[in-house]
Formats: sequence, C-alpha cells, structure tokens
Amino acid sequence: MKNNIKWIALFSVIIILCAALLIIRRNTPSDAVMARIVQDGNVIREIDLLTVDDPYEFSVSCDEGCNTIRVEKGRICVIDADCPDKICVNTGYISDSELPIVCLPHKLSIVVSGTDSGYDAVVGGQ
Amino acid sequence: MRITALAIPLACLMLLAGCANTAGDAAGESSAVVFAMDTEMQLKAYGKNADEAINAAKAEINRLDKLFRRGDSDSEIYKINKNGSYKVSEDTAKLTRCACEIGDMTNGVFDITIAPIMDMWGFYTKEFRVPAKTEIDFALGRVDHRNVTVSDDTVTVSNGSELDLGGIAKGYLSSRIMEIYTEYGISSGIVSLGGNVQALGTKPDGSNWNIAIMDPIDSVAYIGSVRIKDKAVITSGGYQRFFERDGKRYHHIIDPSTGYPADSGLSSVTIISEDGALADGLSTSLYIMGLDKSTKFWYDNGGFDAIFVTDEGEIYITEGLDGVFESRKNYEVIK
Repeated sequence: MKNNIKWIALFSVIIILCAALLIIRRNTPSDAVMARIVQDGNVIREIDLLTVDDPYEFSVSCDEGCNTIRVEKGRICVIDADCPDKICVNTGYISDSELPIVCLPHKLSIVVSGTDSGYDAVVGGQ
Repeated sequence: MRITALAIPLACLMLLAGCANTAGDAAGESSAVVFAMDTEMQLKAYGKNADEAINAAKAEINRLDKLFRRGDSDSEIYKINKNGSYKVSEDTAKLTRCACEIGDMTNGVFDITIAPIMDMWGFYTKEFRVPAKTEIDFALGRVDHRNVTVSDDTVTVSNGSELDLGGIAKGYLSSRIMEIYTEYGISSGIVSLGGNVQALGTKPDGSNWNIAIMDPIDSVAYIGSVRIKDKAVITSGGYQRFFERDGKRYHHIIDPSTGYPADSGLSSVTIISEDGALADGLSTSLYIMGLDKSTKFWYDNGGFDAIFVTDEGEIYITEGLDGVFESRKNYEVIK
C-alpha cells in the first residue's frame, strides 16, 4: 500500500511537469515578435519588435540602391528608398506575419513572425 | 506494477510533447517563396505529396512567367506584338481568349491593349512622368481589345495594338496552381501572389481559410476578412503602386476610356470567385467602373461576389458575402 502511494506521487509529479513544459512551449513564441530583414535570400538582421523602446532608423544598401528602415515598438516600415517604384515605402508599417514588405528592385523583404493574427493571408491593392 | 506505473506517465509525456508539434508538420506542410511577375509569391500545400506539388507549382510559375513577359524577346506575347500574329501555346491562347471575354463583358473597361498608355506613364519602366493630353489621345487610338483575336492556337493583333496579359496573368496562375495541387492529390493549399490569394479546399483542420482585406487608408489595419474555401480573393486598389508629381498622386490603374488613372470614387475592390483569372480581370474593371456601375454589372452578370471600399472608407458587400465577411466596421449589403 505504501509503495502504491509512492508511485501515485511520482506519477502526479511527472504529469504536472509535462503540463508545465507544454504550457511553456506553447507560450514562448508569442513572447517575441521578430522582424526578419532578408536581402537576396539571406537574413541580414533580426529585430524583436517588442523590445524596441525608442524608435530608430537604419539603412540597408545593395548594388542597386538603398532602403531606410524605421523600427518602432511592435511595427516596422521602409521609410525611404531610392528604388524606382517605391512600393516598399507605400506599403507602410507592418506589424504581423500576413503581408511582408517587399522591395523587388533591391531584392529586399521584411517579414514579421511570432504574431498570430488569426488570418491565413492578406489581400491588398497591388 | 512498477512497469505499468512508469509506462503511464511516460506515455503521457510522449503524448503531450507530440501535441506541441502537431501544428507544424503532422499534416505534411510544404511552402515556398518565389519572385516572379514583378511580385513575391508565397505557396503552401498540406498533404502527403506537398513537397512534389510545391516543386511542380514553382516550375509552372517560371514557365508561365516566361510565356507572358511582354518585354522579353523569347516570350510569346513579345512575338505576337512583333509579328502581328503568332501560333501560341494552349495557355497563352486560353488566357487571351478569357481576357477578350472579360473585355466584352465589361464593354472594354478591361482592356489587354492598354500597354502603350502604361508605358507612357512609366509604370513598366518605373521612370514615371505625366504625359501630355495630346500624347495620350494619340496613343488611345491603338487601345481597343477588339483588335485582338484568337483563332484556334493563333493570336492576332491589328491596328497597331499591343497585347499585354499582365492585368490578368496572376489570377490565371493562381488557378493553375490549384489545378496542380489537385493533380498531386493535395486537398488543402493556398497561394498568395503579391496579395492575390487563392485557396484549395479548407485548412487542414477542416475550417475555412480566413483572408484579411487590407484597409486602403491605413496599411496596418484591415477592413475585415472573408472565410472561404475553393475560392480566389483578389483586390485592386491604387494605394500601393503610384507616384506623386506636384503634390498630385497618380496610381497605376488606367481607365482605357480616358488614358488617365481611374477616378471613380472607389479606393479598393475585392472580388471573390472560383475563377482566379476572372477575379483578377473584374477587380480592375470594377475599380475603374465605380460603385454604381459595378453594382449594375453584378446584377446583370453575377457569378462572383465583391467588397467595395469608397474613397471615404464606406464598405459595401454583395449579398453572397453576408455572413462570410467579418468586420468591426459598418458595412452595407447590396441585394
């Protein structure tokens, strides 16, 4: 009988541990909203948008030209670019994973991940 | 006894660990990003042959991109325009025929011969300028979709017209990808071609795909979303591709009756239809027509649903979307 209680106690501890692990695993990704700056297929910079307290700007250059990126808490945009079509600038701020910012002439894209908006895709007026 | 007691928690541990992963790969997810047709394309398929289906879809994107590229001397469109007449592939003949039909349906509001005017404004070269009215009027003489004819597998252009399938190619492509997914036994998949979305079946969990529609006035916000299956959702609007001169904004959707950017009082039109090419052609056409003419067009033709956003931000949806469109904003249902 005493032995049985020991096993039940062990069993309970393991179950609680499993449940805790599961909760931690499920919740961790939403603690960060990562913006990934991708140039010509390579990730050149990753920024956790939730840790940005003071907005800042930086430039990304390539042979074709330059894009100026502005980072604020929870959102990111291309604020200026010398590409001919300016579609990246016109896209404005993005804050979730549904639609990336793309600058085709400079082969640059900005993708946000770690948010779950509940949408599978976004349509916009291109 | 000891073995049983150990086995139970271990089984629980495995089960729980398994639960945390199912969203990722249990359904056999495969995805890819491709740059083609002047846009970024995102593809996703679920199922046993997902990898093969995505690879086949990528190959099809590249094949069709080469056929339809107007500026490329190897493309069929270039050869049609250069020779006046050219024997083409089944895809080019089919899409040209479809584009001409939409041209007829819309009384020329959708026009696949608008290219010379687009060139003049610099929308292809990205060297933007505002052309003189006389220049536009002269070029408009060459714009008429009735100058394009398709007979069997030969496409002919006359009276100096030039063919460009750019306004409808992405919609055709998304429908082709759905066919490829089906050929590979995929029953759940989605493509987003620069914001044009088409979905096959439902999501792997059986629920409908939830597609958000961008707010033309605020790029971070959405006007709402539609829950769909087996449908294309395609939006046209002048708020992403435009240039500014002397404080005035000129967008890329040109009205073929004037040669100037459409100014119909709408800021965005979204079409929902099973046919991607039709949805692509109609989203442009209805944007140019404006709300009143579009409503009449919908009454007369049917076969699709639409969401209109006016310049003032008012939202109108057609009857078929009542209960499908979800929004926190006010909207009116056209019945």
